[in-house]
Amino acid sequence: MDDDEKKDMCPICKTDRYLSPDMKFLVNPECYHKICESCVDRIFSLGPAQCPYEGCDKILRKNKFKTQVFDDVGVEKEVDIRKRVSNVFNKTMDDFDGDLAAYNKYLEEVEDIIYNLNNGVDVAKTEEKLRTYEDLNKQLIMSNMKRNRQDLENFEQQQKFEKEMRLKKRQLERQIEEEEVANREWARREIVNQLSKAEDAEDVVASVKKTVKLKKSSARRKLEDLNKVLKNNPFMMVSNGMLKKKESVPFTPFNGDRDLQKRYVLSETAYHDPFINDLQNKREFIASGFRADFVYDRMLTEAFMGLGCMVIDELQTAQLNGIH
Amino acid sequence: MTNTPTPSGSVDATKVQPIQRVSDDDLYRHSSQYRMWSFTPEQLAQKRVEINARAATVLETRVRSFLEQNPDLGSDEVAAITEKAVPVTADEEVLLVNYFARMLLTFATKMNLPTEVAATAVTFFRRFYLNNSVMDIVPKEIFYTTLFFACKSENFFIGIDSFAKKTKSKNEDVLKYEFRLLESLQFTLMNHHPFKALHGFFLDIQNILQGKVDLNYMGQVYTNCKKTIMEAILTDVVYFYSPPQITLAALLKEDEALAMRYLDLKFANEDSPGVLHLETLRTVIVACKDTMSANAVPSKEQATRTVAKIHFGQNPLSVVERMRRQRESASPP
Repeated sequence: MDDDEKKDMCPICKTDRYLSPDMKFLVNPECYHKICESCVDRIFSLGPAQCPYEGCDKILRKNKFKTQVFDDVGVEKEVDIRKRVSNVFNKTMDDFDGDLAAYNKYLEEVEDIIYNLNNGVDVAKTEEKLRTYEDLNKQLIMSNMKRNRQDLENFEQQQKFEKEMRLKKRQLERQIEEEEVANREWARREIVNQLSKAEDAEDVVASVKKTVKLKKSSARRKLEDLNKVLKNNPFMMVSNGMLKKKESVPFTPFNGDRDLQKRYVLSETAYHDPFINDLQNKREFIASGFRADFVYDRMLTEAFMGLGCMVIDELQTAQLNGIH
Repeated sequence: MTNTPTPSGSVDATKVQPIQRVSDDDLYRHSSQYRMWSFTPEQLAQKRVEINARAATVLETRVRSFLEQNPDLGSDEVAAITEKAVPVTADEEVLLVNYFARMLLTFATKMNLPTEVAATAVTFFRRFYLNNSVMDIVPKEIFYTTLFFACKSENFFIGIDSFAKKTKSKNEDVLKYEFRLLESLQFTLMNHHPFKALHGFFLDIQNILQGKVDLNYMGQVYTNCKKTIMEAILTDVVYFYSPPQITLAALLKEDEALAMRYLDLKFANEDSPGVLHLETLRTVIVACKDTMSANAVPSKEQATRTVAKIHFGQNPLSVVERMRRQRESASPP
């Protein structure tokens, strides 16, 4: 039998997906054997029964059956175990007062348990460990669960809010667009209308355009308000990277702009420098963008760069500050 | 274990920062020359003493182990070794480095290299010996390397083959310590030499003292100042003062009246914020000039003596051989 065919056929009742396309497969976390829905109904309706697979003696219950999410049974199994363990071991970083080492140790422990359960190492002992921990920390687990739920709720709320806002914004934008089209149409018609009466064409066009400009729609105003809300919305900035406020100061390599007050005034005529002036008359230099005033500017900058740095004093102060 | 970010975190990030202004001085403070190669005189002296002490300890241990390994030496030979194979002092080191730096300058001039290359080579050479002792690597071994490397870093590239040919040295000798040099320079290759500042001041003086100064005379002052600055690069002022200050000090040395007149006119009547205080500036420049003038030119004898000392320290055996040779020639069979 082909593997592909096997995949689409229930091994118990031999129903094929080809013949009954609505067929669903279910698995039980006890043994992860694939059984079709109707077989599950048929075999387990009367209470727990043995797995119908040959050689599998696990007793299965109907209420434990679930749809398989992952194709790979190994993955499915691990995810289930992980879910179960993390329901019990549900501490977060906050429970450790920021002690990263302790938190990491805890995570390592959790991973060990998951690994053991997944690979069948010391299962009995590990299960025992899990149970003891659960008994001992019932209170904490409950409160953590509650907190997680709260977080999730917050997150959902936030998502909902954002979605709403975005929808509203899009609506308003569409409205504005429509209005603009209408306005243009109106202006065109109005111009034609008025031109039939008046003589000065330019005057008419100007006045109509002015009226259109004044017709700032209410939708536009609403959009502005909405944008303001969005900007001030604390949710938005954390979750939505796209809408994060941009830095109001543009990037500058030295953390600030160059001083506007220079220590020199670049004179247009005063400099007599035979060498540079000669270069200015050479074609090969001018062609590549050579300009004498650039050279002068650079030289003058260089001349005053660091003139006010009292190196010794500054280093001494830095040293003193370093000591104290 | 979901950890959803709390929305309160980044609200304060929206505050508008006031625009900062970065002055030209701040630009210089960002340079590697300021951050890594500027010192107070005390710091510099301490640095040199430390480097010297480190190398001296290594050398002394080596001599001691040599004596232990050769127990068959005569007592006079041992005495000669303990007398001759001694580490050089920090002062001797400085003198030797300066002597070779001067040689480097002459050599670069002879090779017709641009001023920048020569100055950079000297700077690299002197900086190298702020992190290494002449007892670790003798100046001769690094001499051509610095020059070759300065050519590269100043965009005046000469291929290693032609460089070796021109300097009559071997390729591998030149390249041997190249990385060590780069490492000792802490990979900072940008040099702010006072020459550019000199050019700038030369222009600014023409502007400020327009019509009051003869242009031909200015050209002469410029050439002389360049020479003075070349001398200044061989001194410690490069570690203590910024390039424009050194330039002004050179100008002061060349023509005090001109320099003072220029400074008076330039900085006297400016009251706007961030402007230099004339009096402080003048003090610094005069101090710089004094340090510049105080520098002693090391003589050839001094240098040879130090080189010999290093040689004996590195090879104690040569002391013995020399003694034996002398003895043989003194009493022919």
